[in-house]
Amino acid sequence: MPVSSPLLDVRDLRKRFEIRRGPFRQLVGHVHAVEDVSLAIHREEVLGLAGESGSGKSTVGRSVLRLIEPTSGAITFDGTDLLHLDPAELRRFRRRAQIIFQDAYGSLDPRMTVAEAVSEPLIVQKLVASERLARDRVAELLALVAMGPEYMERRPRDLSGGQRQRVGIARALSVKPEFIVADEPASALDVSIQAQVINLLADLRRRLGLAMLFISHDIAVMAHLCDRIAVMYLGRIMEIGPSRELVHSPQHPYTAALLSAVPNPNPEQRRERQLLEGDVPSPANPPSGCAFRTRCRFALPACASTVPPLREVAPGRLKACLRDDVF
Amino acid sequence: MEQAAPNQPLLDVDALTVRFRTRAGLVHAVSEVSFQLARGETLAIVGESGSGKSTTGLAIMGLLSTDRPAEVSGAVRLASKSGGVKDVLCLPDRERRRMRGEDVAMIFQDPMSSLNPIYSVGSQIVEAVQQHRPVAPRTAAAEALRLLAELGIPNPGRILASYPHQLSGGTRQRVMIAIALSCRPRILIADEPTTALDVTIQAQILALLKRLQKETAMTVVFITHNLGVVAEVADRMIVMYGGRIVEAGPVRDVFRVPRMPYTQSLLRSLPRLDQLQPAGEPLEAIPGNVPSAMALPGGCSFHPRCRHLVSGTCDSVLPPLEPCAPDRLVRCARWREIG
Repeated sequence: MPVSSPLLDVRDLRKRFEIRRGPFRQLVGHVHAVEDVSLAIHREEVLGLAGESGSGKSTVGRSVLRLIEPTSGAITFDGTDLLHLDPAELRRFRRRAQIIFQDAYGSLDPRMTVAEAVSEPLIVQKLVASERLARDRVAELLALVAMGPEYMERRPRDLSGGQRQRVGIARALSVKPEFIVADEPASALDVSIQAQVINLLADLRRRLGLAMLFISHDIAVMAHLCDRIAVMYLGRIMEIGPSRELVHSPQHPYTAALLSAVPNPNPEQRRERQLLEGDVPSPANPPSGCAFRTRCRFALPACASTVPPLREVAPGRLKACLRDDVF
Repeated sequence: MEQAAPNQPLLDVDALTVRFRTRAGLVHAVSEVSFQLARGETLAIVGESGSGKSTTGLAIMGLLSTDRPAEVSGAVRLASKSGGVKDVLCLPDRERRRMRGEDVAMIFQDPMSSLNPIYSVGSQIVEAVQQHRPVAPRTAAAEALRLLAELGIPNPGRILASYPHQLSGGTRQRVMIAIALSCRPRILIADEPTTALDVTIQAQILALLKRLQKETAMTVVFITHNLGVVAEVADRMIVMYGGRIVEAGPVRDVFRVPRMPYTQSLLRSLPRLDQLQPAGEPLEAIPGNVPSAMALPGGCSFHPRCRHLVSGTCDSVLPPLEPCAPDRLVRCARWREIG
């Protein structure tokens, strides 16, 4: 780990959602969405958070922005304790950290024009003196995402999926944040548009020096865009490492299985893949010990008794697996 | 009814054209799509939203009727199990219903909306079996159990008694496959069957479809936007853009030497794990937007996004779909020069 302190530091983050049933809304259990997640993101670093549905990756993304309240753990941003901010401090934090959603159509108000949507955060944060200055800033922001000023008066329904996502990005960038959570920003887009949005994010990150938490199920996109990747399964981090090293030589059996499942766009290399059996267990009733052991072909009896700690196995590479003899 | 000749293709789609009249205007969903399916092959129809790939699938299934808002022309000739060749588009309703399931079956992206939430999975499979075969409920139930077991579903008895919402996405898709296969169709149309699933579950479903295809010599039409899936499962592929076929050929050949600029760019724009881009280098993106089927550009529909565009040709004349190599078709005015 570099000597400089990270921009975002998450320690032992846990989020459990209550399950209530019956006429008196009795508490019958908890969904273990995020369990003891620790990670750090440095200035200008892009960390990918990979995982399948139910892995808790979006819950981590929303927790670090204080969009949901964690059950326990600690989150610091630039040295400030995020979990104990007063409302004024929280508002100031929102200037520094923003989010881009998967579904730009759902996250933009259909009645607002592009100019209104992009300038709203500026007005809420009182960052512009007049409406005319706001419009100048909107034009600048649209240029940043490669859209001309002619889009200012359009509404979301008049835009294509890719254009809506660009507007979502411009809106997030309006307050000049240092940190962005991008939650599956390209997943709902057509294949030919995905590359445009990925390139835009890579370009903005370089030009604006943004740090980013990039949440996705698409590990090939992550390998391209992210500096490091953290792989989650059933609320826990299984492995973290530099992107290229992680996809070339995964250290955790789950990472290896995930990579093997990705369809390879090369018909010359059709191969028998290592299939994972069965479904992901319910996060309301996760397995004891290692969360992945019920589907792991290397599982030992010991895997059921203790949760393997995330430990460093090579410089910068961490994994939560008892076995060192399988990769 | 014509008599089936030997070497007759199982399915012959001939100049299929589909238009939808909507309040906002005429939608050119599918334009003069022609292809044939040989017995036992897996064909992938590849395209983005609005390319016409799903509408083509629905037309083959006889789910677009000629007298409704959809205007359908052309022919979809099917060599049916009962012998003889029929045009799906002209079949009376009764026969068309029988054809569905017995000759052609279909699975969709979202099994949750294809299954009825208020009936058990078992009763829905039994219903499908009894629609086509006059068997006792008990026989149909045994058949349902056998189908699920054959698909490698653990605990098939418990699954039969469950309701759709109690099952995972992967299991629901397996149930849909069981229903589709209940009458042993010769053609299975799979419309984005793994798009809503996690990648490890997608791998399971693809392996299952490949195994069934091998065991039963079933013909499969795979409709997808995912080029990785195409490379993984298909023998032959058709690339659609703006409602038309723009390229067709064996999967290996098209991936090795794509001829249409759209296919070329699409293949190059994919981030891939087997050949990572050098760090910091952008992906090769296709500029512009996917065109709306209500306002397709004139000439070649891809011309506004094409880097090989020649004004005066590409934007005014629709290039023909022409052979460019054995078993290969391409629609591009410039395929000879751009290589």
